[in-house]
Amino acid sequence: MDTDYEGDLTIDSEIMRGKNENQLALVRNKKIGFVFQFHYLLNEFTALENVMLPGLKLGLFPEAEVKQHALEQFKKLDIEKLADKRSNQLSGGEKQRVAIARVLINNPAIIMCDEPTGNLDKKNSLIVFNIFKQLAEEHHQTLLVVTHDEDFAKKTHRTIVMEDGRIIRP
Amino acid sequence: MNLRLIVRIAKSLLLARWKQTLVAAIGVTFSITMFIALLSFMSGLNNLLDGLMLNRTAHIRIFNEVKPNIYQPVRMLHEFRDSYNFIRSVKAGSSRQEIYNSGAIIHVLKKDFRVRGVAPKITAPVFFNDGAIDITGIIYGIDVSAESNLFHFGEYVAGCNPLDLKNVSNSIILGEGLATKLMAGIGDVVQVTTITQEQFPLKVVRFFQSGVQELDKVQSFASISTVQKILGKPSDYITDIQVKLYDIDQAPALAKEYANLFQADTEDIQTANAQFETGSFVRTLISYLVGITLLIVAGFGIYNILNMMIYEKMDSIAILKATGFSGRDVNRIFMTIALSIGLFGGLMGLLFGFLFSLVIDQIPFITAALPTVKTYPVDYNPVFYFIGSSFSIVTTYLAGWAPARKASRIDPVITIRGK
Repeated sequence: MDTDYEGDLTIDSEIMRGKNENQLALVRNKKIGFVFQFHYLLNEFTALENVMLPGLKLGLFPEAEVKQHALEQFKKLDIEKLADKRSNQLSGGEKQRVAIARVLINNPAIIMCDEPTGNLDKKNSLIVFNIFKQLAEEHHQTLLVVTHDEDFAKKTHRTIVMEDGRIIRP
Repeated sequence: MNLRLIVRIAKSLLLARWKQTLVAAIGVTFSITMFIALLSFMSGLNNLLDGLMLNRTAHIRIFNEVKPNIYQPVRMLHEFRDSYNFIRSVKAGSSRQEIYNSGAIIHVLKKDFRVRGVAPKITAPVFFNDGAIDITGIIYGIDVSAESNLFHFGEYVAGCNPLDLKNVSNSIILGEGLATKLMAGIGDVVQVTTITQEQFPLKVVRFFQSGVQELDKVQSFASISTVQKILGKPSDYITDIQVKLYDIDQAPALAKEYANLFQADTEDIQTANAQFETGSFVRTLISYLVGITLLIVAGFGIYNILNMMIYEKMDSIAILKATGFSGRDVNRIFMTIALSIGLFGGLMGLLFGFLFSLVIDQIPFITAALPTVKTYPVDYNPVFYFIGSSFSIVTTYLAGWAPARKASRIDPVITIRGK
């Protein structure tokens, strides 16, 4: 998303520098999943449609199949009953889980999370963390999480501590 | 696939704010309605006013102008052949007003396939005697049936039976204004003096109402034979031949052709009535300007609503971009929104415009000057509907262009980081 960086960035051994806006959009669509502190669901759509949108955008599969994939993600995260609800009818924790389902729809190479539990209470944080853990251990999904929550950080496989833009403990 | 997705997102965004959408669409509807109604009405009025003149004007008039001969004798002299000759104050000789060989000309014209009809005419300037006063006027000697067929003569005669002119001998149809001046009623006899001081009594059978007051104060009509009698001329005396064509646009070319063929002067309608075209043109131009102004205002309405929607949906746009929608997709989503407002509003506008024209067509419009017109004239020209719909699409496209571009340039990093 941000093109203002130094050095080289490769995703799936593809160099990102020099790609135009459309190509970068495709990379985001296909290879990267973003989970933010805020859920960013579209209120005009149901939870299921929100999850389906990136899949429909990628356009690799017909709509019925994308729907099937989306429902699988819902099942994986144990939130099938939320599928037909509008996103503004969901609670914070539910929204974040739908947002994670949206990330998974295109089988990204990496999921980047920015304070994924920052807006959630302890119980929901735990649920989100368990989902991440399950993804990492059972589905071998790469996750990159930025967080201030030290409990959360302690439970990850590798922690890099940063302060004021510098890495102080790799 | 992609397009369908874009349309779907656009639809959801539209329906989520359906009240604003409706207001924007009503703006377009209103302007298109007014545009259609205004142009239909204006054009109907133009046709009526033009018809007032054009219906009664010959497409080509053949006549013999009294003017000095352009071939002066000095040109025949050998010694001056190679020099410029300046002659001043040349006067017309004893040339005649009548058209030479008029019978043969009419015969040829009637056979011409481009000619719809021919009506001969005599123009006779006379004095109407009213006690001690003489009122100047003109009597037109006309072929009543030809004049009625070609120039709607009957429509302007109060009481609507111009054939009385033919059936009653020595009869006259007076212009309304002239009749008032002379205080002559139907059945009265008016005295007419020709320029050669011969008096002649004529019986009034009808009144004539052209809609142009100035004309009605001087014009009157009699049959050709009556006028020939008044003037003491033989029965082949004709001063004007009026020609009506199938295609009015051919008039200038044909006028030249006839001038050569018949060795007479001709005048075509375009040259004689240039000012009418100008009037119609200006009126049409004004209607278009008003219509376009309305549309531009509606365009600003759409622009505003889209702008608001973009500020409101900043987050949604950001996440769409983060999940892989490119700037072009976002642009298309907002263009779709703008164009569907334009399309829907435009279509409703065409419908309401048509209904509004129907209403105008029912409003009574009775004027003494136009005895045959009962309601306001409306021209149901499909061209207006075509222009209206294209305008609505173009305006909404332009109104949507800037906001859509802005939306497509939203940087998701900045929007998301700000949360």
